Amino acid sequence: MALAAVLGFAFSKSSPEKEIRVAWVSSDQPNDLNERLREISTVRLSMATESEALTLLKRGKVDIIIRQLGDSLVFAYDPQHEAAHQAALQIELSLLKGTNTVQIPLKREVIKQSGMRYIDFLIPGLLAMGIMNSCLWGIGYTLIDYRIKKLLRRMVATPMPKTTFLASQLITRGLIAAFEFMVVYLFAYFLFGVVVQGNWLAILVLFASGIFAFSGMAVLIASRAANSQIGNGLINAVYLPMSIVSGIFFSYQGFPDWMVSIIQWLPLSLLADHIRMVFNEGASLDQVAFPSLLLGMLGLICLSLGLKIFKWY
Amino acid sequence: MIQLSGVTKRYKSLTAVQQLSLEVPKGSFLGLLGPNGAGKTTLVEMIEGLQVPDEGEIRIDGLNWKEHGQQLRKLVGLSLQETRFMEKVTVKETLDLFASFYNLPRSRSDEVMQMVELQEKSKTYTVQLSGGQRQRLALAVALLHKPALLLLDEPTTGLDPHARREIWYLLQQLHQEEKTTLVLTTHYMEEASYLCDRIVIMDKGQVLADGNLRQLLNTFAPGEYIEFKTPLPMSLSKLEKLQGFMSLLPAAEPGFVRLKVKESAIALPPLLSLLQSESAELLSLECRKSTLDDLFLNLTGRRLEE
Repeated sequence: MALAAVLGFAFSKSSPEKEIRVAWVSSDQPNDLNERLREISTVRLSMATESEALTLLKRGKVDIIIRQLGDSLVFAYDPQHEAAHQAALQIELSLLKGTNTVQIPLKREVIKQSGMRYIDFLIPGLLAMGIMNSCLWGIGYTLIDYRIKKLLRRMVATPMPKTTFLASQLITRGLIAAFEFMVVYLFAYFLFGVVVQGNWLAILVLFASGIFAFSGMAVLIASRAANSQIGNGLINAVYLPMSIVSGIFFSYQGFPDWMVSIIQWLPLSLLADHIRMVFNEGASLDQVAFPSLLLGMLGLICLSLGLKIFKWY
Repeated sequence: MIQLSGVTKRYKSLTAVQQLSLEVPKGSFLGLLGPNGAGKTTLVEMIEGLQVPDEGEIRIDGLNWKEHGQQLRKLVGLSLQETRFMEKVTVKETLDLFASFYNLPRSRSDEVMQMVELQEKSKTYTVQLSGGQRQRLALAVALLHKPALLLLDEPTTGLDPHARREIWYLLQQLHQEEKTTLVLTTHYMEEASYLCDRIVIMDKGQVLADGNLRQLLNTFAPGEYIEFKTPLPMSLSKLEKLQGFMSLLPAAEPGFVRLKVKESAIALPPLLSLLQSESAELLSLECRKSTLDDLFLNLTGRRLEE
């Protein structure tokens, strides 16, 4: 139900009224051409310099860049990105149908440099989601499964310290997730030429804080569930909404503003946005320090809360 | 070895164990017998330190769980009601893992594997083990650190008679050769009768009876049963004059007569001559001793294995 509500919100403005987010690049003052675009009710125009426009596109904040070159307009976007392609067609159509009979020469420019394509948006998001998946299901489900099998109580009946047990879960999960991360990354690198433009150390810090945050959440989720249905439900309740709204497959900028202001602080959004920044914008270590700290703190809070109410027996 | 005094455990509206006191000396083999829901598992789990009693005190070798948890974990070995292990981990790996929890060398897991005769299954995934093999593995895990006290919660429930015998044999060996103190819960009276040198019968969280098999039966279920069938109805008044006659019981089917006597060896010859003098043909005859089930029936009005 929550899922339906979220998706409903996201797509309530979809066809025919879906908002088209456009970056407008022009050396001239606002003029007639600009005005013609503004007349299209579905267009939300952001004035930008060339480099600002590129950043907006990389972050999924706009779908398309429109440049004014004299009397003509150049539409720059990745045709592989379905939403962008649709947006371009719609604007073209609206301009042609307009009351103003003066035809504007339109040109298309296909964006294909690395870091700007849809695949460059998608892959970092998938990597972030992979970390979340691995922890929530890997740790959360394992703990619940051990509890159902009474293996958990069998283990704590031995002199083994509980911290050792949890640490082993975290380390194992970290190693497996690192392996999964590299498989997806290498696949994207060789097949699509997706590259990390920024610092690998920044990726490592984000990765570690992500693992810690989602492991903490997994422990909290699994702290009391004693059967697999409840366990499944709880994990899904966290996992599904985030994998949809956190801008993995499509930018969350399409949501209403008040939702965007919440969504951007969700752990998966934090992780995905910043991994994306390191990949596509070459973000440095200190640019990811703050979100990493937030993720680490979230992990710590969830972990200590989870352990407080954890049912070992 | 174990001292329980006034131990009580409540779950919301249900009192699982009520003001229970018990002392188990070193080297004994105690059976906790009772129907499902009698509070056996709760009691054993409190002794194992997996549950905390609401009232009362539990001491094992003079130690308690609150202050000496770490020492007690080394002292106590346990097998829970149906533990399942990690599925895609072999028998040997499971034992090695648990051995590492006790800081034991891997050679120890080979030793216990031999004790429970699972060497051939060493490389088998635990998910592929039969019920009996899985219980033997659970027992092996419990034996790794040579515990002085072994607590077994229904070690043979759900096993076929053959697998059950194998576990019994193992437990007897431990009792006789290693002098391990054993506490076992069961709802099979046969198991308690066969294995244990002391039986505590529990119902509704309380001890109903406590003693060895002979004492229990003599005190709570004296007598033996004779059941026979004749084509003609018997004169019941003559039966009542038999030596050691105790009571006449309702028969299961028409034509059958059920008698309770002190000792069938004494009552049987006069019964046979009585039948002969009445020229009543004997169609069937059966004698049996009282069992723990009769005892439980006498004490509670219910059967044990229901």
